[in-house]
Amino acid sequence: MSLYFTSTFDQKKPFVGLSWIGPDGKETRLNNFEINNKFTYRFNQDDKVTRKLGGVVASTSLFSNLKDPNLKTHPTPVKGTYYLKIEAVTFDPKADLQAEMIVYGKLSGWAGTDYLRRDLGIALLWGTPIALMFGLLAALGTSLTQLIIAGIGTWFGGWVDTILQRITEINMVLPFLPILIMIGTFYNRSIFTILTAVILLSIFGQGIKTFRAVFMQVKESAYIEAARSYGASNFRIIFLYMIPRLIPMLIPQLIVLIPSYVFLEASLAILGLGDPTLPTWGKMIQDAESQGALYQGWYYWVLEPSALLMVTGLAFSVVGYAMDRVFNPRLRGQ
Amino acid sequence: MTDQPLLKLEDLVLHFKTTKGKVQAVDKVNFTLMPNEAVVVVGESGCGKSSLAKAILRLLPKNIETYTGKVFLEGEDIMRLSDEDFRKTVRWNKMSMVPQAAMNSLNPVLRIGDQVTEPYIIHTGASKADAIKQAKKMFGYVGVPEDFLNRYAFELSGGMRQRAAIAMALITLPALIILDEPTSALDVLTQANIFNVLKKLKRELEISFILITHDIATSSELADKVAVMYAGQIVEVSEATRFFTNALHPYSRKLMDSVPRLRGDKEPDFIVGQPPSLLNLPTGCRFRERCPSRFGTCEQEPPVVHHDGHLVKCWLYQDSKEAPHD
Repeated sequence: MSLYFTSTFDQKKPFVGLSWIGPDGKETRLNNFEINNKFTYRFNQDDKVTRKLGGVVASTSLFSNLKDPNLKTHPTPVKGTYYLKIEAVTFDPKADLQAEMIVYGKLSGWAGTDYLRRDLGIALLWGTPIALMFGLLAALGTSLTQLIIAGIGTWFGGWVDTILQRITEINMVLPFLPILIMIGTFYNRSIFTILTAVILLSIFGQGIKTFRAVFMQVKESAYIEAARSYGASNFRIIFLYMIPRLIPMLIPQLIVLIPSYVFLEASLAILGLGDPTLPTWGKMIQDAESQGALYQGWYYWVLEPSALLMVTGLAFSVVGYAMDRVFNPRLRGQ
Repeated sequence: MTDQPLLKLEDLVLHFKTTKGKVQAVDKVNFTLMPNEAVVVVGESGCGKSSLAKAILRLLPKNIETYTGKVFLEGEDIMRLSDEDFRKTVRWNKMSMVPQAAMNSLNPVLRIGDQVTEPYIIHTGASKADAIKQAKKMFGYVGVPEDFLNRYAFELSGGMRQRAAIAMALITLPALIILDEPTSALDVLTQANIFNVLKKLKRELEISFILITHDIATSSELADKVAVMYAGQIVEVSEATRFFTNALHPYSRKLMDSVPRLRGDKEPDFIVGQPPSLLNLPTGCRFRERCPSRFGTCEQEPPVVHHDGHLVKCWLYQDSKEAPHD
């Protein structure tokens, strides 16, 4: 148990007195002291209080019956409402004083705490939008750009297509993860840097080849030639005539792609390349790993983020397969 | 009718490059079309009819070997225009096309209304509302109910789609429409219907047509002129009435003989052999091998002669002013 004080004053420091009121209404005077601008009072480190409370640290004795003979070996907590009375005296008209109390526990919150007594539940909740945002933006960014690039390449053909295809092939043999590790190590670990790098590296990927194969077929459709004959411009044909034909193919693929980027972000965080300013699921697992959580038996610390990752992946896959059935009626009824 | 031809082709050549060699799809075609005139281009499959249409509208694939000659449209040589100028000023402003397999020429992901108004919006910069108004007018001409504007292509029957495609070709009111086999794959009733629509358009809007077809019998309904194509060349051009009663070129005659008659004992005839491959054309007259009236001179390139109001590319009419008896 700690009390954190912050105060503003001109010359003379404020003076504070603390008393503890138990459920039985009995008031125990704890201590009096002067407050600096920032001051932390730790109940268990106050020897005067410990002595007053029968030689047992405040976090135990304050919540027990002091006459209990088993106080030192098996303390029994007394249930009820406790009050901490803080009386303060300030000496300047403008002086101000803030106090904040933190009660640490062995385990608290629905998800437990980590080695720094932080609530894992908060990290799990904070990690969710980050994971989803990363997955969604990366999947959308890559798929849409791939679709457009493949459409442009197929439509113009010739050297445009050749160049795009060679770039794709070269990019596909480049090792993906090591490049990201390099960026994370040498450049910057902000989640947006990583996101941009992931999108840029993924654009010239397998998707271009898949989309191109379908575009080749669409390009020869009679209605494309008709559009050409009535003078539709190249970009009108690509964006209004070719790309919409692939949307039914794109959507299920896009949805299945989202969790793969969520996992990628988690993998990077587990490798220690996550954004240090954001709590993410991968980062929780990395913390757990570095603190030897499994060795210590703190399974929950690893299992919670892992379970969320799994649920995310499963959910998107199921939605993706369902979408696939909606958009490809041939898959139905078999 | 003015004296200036609407469309005049001079030595139009379109050769494709393939792995097997040069395909002479259109080889030195000369041809004149007057305003408000309908010409029917007939010929066997693979004789270059569709390529001729594409060459006129410059809808070329990538594997062009030669594309030369002159195409005068209202006196202007449109072969000189850049691709971009051609797209903006010629296509659909002055001539439009109903492509082959027009039934499939509608974008499956757009509503008919959006699709039909596209050329109008692209070329005139009109507002959507004006374009819809124009489309409704065109639908009136071709006999498609106006509420079809809100439907998708797959919700229409083949005949309706064909009409929608014709409405799309009409929407900017060009002077010339090229129809590439507009009635293939349609039943006879619908075919007759479409031809009636075309006749009405010709009468009311004074539009010229180039009609590419296999179907000589039906096309006789509409034709002012007939051009017969064989192996990439036009072998005979004549007034329709003259052509149907007295075709001159041996190939044209054979073609006419192959049309079944309702009465009479005459069996429909056919032409022995295959048309020559456009990859490897014989020298001299290209029809020589299959011609019943061939003779020694046919080894040389035949001249194009005026004979009895026909333009015919055959040695038979070299000197004679009379139709030969056979």
